[in-house]
Amino acid sequence: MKRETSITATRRARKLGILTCLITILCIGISFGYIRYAQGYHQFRAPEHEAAAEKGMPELTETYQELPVKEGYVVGISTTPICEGKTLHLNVANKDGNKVWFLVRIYKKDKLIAKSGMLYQGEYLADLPCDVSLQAEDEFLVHIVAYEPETYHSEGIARISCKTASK
Amino acid sequence: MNRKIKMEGGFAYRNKGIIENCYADVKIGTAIRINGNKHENAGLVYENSGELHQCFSRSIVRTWKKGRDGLIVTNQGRCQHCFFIAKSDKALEKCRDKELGFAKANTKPEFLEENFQWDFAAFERESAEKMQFQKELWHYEPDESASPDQATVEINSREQFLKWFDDVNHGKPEAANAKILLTDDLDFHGKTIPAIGCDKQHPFSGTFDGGGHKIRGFVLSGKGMAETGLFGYLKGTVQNLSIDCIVKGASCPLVAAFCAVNEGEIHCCEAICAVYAKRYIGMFVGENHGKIGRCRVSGKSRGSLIWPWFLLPFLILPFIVLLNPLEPPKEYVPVMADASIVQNENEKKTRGKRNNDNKVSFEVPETLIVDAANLTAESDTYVINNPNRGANYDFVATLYMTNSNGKDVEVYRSGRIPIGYHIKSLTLDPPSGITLSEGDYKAKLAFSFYHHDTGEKGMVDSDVPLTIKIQQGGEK
Repeated sequence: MKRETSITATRRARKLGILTCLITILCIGISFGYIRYAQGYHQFRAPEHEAAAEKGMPELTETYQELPVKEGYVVGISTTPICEGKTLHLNVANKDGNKVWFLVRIYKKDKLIAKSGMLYQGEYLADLPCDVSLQAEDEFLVHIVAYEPETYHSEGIARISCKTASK
Repeated sequence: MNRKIKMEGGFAYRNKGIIENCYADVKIGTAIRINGNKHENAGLVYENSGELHQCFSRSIVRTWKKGRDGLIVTNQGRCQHCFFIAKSDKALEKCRDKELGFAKANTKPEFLEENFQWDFAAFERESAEKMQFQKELWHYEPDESASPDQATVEINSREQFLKWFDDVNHGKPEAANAKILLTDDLDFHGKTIPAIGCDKQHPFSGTFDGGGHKIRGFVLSGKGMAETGLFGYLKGTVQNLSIDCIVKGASCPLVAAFCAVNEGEIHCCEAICAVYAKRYIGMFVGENHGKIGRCRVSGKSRGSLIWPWFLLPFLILPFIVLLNPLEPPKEYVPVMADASIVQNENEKKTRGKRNNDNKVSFEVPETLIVDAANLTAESDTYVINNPNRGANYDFVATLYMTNSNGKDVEVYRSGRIPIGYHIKSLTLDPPSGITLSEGDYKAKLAFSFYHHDTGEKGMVDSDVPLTIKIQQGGEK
């Protein structure tokens, strides 16, 4: 004969069972999610094109310079740019004849404070929003991270030391 | 070590009064045994110094001791016409008090009626195996002459019930001595409630008539209590009541589902319960000093709530994440390694230790001898080598020859050659329109270096001048 069991205990067991199942599914889901994420995280993801990039060349100012890089490309940049609030008027340009695409990253005392999307040949980026506002004569380092077009093979990083313009 | 012994009776933990015409149908487990805790269980009563008449147990009893007690562990009182039912003869043999037991197949009503003067007035007779009270005959009529003038308080809702026992536990005499009649079933839907008559100073001394109704869905918590049960301390009378509940009494010394300590009377009541406790447990009543008749208990008892142990491996997950923090994603697509790379012999021994980020290293012969037939240069040692030497850069080698116009023309490009690898052959692939005939040619080998870990191109490109000697049969 089957032993009579408590309905209260059965209800509770059902609730606990559903909860346990949900927790188990959640744990398994998190595990799989983490594994998938960890696998995907190490893989290369192509940087997106810079939405604010413009075709052509920036306005030529006194501070604008064209710096040839040994890898066979030329970076146009204002080496003493003006910073208004958190916007840096860097006027960085990827010249038309270059054989690379590049990203711009700005470091202040080894801390990344601004980064751009990909600039294709013949494009320039006038302003770059920073995480912090730069004061006059603040030193910062511009990293030009260059890529071989389409393959995204590295073409090295050109590091340019700059200083914001004095008021 | 604080070693505790769990002592449990299927119906009562300790009986010093009278229990008659009652039965227990419970499963008493010993699953949780942490810190050497021991279990001693009996099917009906753990310790009897009172009277037991016409009671039986068909409980499943598990105990740590060798041999089980199907009915009573310690008996110093009277035990008349009581027995227990075991699943089979084999199960019966394992019991220490097997003389009081019967195998299930042998438990016939006629046999019990003849040999045990069993009162079958209220028992199901049709089905011999069932052995349960008949609902329609299982009813206790109280003696109205005891308190003829006392008004009956009818309870038909949870709110009324909760208010009443709140009054009892606050020591209000009109509530503690009341004559209660339950007129409807009550369902608490998992609500935790305290005991009625929570301690010796606040007992219930009145009359509670369940009217054949059931109170279910409540949880009794013994936290901070000396004893717990629906009726904690009973000095009155309870009759015709069914309960269905969970009792959580892990920290409570004396636990029972229906009544923790009975000094009054209980008639025609049933408890269907799940009990989680660790010390002294009676599934229906903890200690009985009064009288209990025609009552039954069914359910199960465990040491404590079962943990979902199978989830434990997932607790390791955060540690795995902490011990293996994610490295930043790769910044570049790595250049594919050359298909013909061969690992250097000495690399297999040193396992290619790399320790200098600013060092590159390569080896090429001064003269590259190429077979004119297939334009392939082969060597037993290497044609291009990336020896370890503590460097940290892989490289791609590109061979340029100078054409008649004095311009460099690419005739070969390797794949990536990692540190500690070399290639033993390469095949020249001059652009269309250029034919390489036998002879010596001036050439240069250009190296583009890529960081072994990050794939970043090192800005240290190097050119090495060399001579290409094209001859029949290649290197001899």
